[in-house]
Amino acid sequence: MNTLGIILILSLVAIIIAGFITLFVAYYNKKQSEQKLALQVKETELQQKLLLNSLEVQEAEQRRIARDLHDEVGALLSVTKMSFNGLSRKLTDKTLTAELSKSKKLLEESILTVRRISKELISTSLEKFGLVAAIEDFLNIVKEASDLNINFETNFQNDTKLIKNQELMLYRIVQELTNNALKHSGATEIEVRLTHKPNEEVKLLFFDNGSGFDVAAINAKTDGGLGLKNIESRIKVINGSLSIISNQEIGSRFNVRVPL
Amino acid sequence: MKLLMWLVCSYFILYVAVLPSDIMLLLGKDAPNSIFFYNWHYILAGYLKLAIYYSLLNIRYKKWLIWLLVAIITMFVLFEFKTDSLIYIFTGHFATKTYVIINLFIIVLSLLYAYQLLQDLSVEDITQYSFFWLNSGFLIYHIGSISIYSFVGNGATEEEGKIAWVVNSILLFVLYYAITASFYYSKNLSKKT
Repeated sequence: MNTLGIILILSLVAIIIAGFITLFVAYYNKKQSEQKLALQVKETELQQKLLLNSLEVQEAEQRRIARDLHDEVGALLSVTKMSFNGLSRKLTDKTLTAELSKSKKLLEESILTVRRISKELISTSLEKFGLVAAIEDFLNIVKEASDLNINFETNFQNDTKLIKNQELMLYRIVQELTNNALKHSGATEIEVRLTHKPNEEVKLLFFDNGSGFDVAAINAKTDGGLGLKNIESRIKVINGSLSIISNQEIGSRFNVRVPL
Repeated sequence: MKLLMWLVCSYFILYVAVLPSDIMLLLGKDAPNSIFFYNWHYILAGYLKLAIYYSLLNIRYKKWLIWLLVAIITMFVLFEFKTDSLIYIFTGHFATKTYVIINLFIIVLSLLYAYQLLQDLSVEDITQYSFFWLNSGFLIYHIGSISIYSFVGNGATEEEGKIAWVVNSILLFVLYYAITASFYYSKNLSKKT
């Protein structure tokens, strides 16, 4: 073999090794990116499962509290009311009868409050009649208990059915947003729109004409504030998204999208 | 600071790359060549590299594999005693067969280690990983080296011999450069998961 031949072959070997190492680095980086992505997906799935579990525990706890309130506190209050009735029949003193009547009114209010709270904690209409009926029921209770002007619109058909979890989460989100509007925003009007695009998405729009809030500041809070973190968690569980516009002029607008 | 570090390293490479030849020339200055020292240097470096791969590899039968390779190399070394390449200080023969077997084994081990890195994927940035540079240096050097001994053996002409030594020096330069990079990036070793 002549000198030129040797040089050529050795140069070729050098190029092949350099190419091999470059390819190795490129392939390594590619595989590592794939692994990172797979890990991220797994982590997200795990987070969702954990979140779902914690929400399920929360839901179970609410059920227990609602049942205890209804079956035990509610029953006790009803028996007390009956006892008051018996007592009022036996009383002849007018002053005492008037006092008892006042106490009875307070007792009745307590019974109603216990019923309302237990109904808020566990929605029987959600299980029996579905999301729209549950939201309607809930908003009616709020309407009766407050001076709020509430408007609810939906294009849901009778046969429109979502996954149980999606219905529950959307219902709880409406509850949370309404409670926030009542407690913090000083709103006088609330509008809820629930639209369903078959095989595409469910959209929940919630407007209130309250004082609004600073979204960035609320997000920066570690405890989340206004139950916003709770809402975000619920949305995450059903793979949804949330956008918020809030200021003093327009109040707050929440746009929740849940893919189907 | 980084530039200074690279300048110091580059100086170190240039110095170290020629050092083994200098020592051999010095030790064998009355001899017509330093092949005897070169032969022993190559074999001992081979054993040292096997020890390095013994620490680096995590494969199942690593212990058996490395000991088998050590045994095979030792067999070849003993076989070389039949020639004068390892026992005669003024020898004019390279221990070519042992070189080739060492080269082959180191190439296989470095490819195994590259495969192991690909399986683990535990290094954040492979180009800043100390042992990647060391492994690449060994791979480049030994593939180049095996090519030299395949084309230019003991019966090489003077001109072919000259080319072989030039290529060998270039390969050594690359190897020491890789080792320096390996030293430089050893500061990142604690970051590896």
